[in-house]
Amino acid sequence: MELLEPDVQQLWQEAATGDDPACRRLVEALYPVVIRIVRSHLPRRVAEEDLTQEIFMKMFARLHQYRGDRPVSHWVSRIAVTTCLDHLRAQKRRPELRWADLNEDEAAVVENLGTVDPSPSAQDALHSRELVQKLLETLRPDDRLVLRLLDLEEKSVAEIKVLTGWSASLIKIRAFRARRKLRKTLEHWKEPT
Amino acid sequence: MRKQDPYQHLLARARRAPQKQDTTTPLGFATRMAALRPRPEPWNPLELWAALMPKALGITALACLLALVFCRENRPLLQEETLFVLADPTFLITGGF
Repeated sequence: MELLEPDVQQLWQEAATGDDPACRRLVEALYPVVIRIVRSHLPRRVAEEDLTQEIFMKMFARLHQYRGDRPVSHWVSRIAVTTCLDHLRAQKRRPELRWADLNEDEAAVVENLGTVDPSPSAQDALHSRELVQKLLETLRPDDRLVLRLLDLEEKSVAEIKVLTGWSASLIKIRAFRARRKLRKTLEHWKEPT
Repeated sequence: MRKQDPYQHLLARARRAPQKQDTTTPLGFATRMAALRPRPEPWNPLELWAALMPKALGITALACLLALVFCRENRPLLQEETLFVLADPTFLITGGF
């Protein structure tokens, strides 16, 4: 069950005094927020639970830095996003995705792109999402984060500003650059050989 | 059929994919986090000493350096005789004889 922000604020204050039950309840209250971010931005070869644990440890270490000027969930979301980004940046190698690397379903998705399809099946949607994930992995970590938040999670530039601390123009430039690269890859795949 | 931007089309389809919905905290996770959390250590005066020590050393070194520079600049004033006069009270009584 997700708690309302005033309840989380109250828990935060109690946790800051070192109260163990309050710390437990705070983790339970913020877990849904953190796990959604982790699942969206999970780098390859990093376990979901390890990353979540790292984020909560950082949160507790910075417990006294929270000033109460914004919701606790926003503050923790920012810690989660920056931790994921640090892990993405640590993975120096980005896989190159070629037409030959796609499986049959993904290749079919690419072939059907560009034509109006009012209601794709759940399987098609799933294959499309997997293909987007693979395409995003070819991008630089910062570009990948921006595009995932903007295009997949449909967050606004203002929301991404809060999450990352980047300026609106930087976010837009990164999105533009990343979209151009992905569009180019898709168009290249669709070219008749 | 109308043509679409392939990237936007792919995104539109990808957004329809069902997502992993379960966001309940795993059993024991919150307890483990609460137990593992870094706790603020009790105040230790030695830590304050350790923190201030390098600064104190730096200030002392600077003072010594300034003293050396001052001595070097004012060497003519610090004549041997003057020093002797200041250092030996008998010199005042005997007048150097």
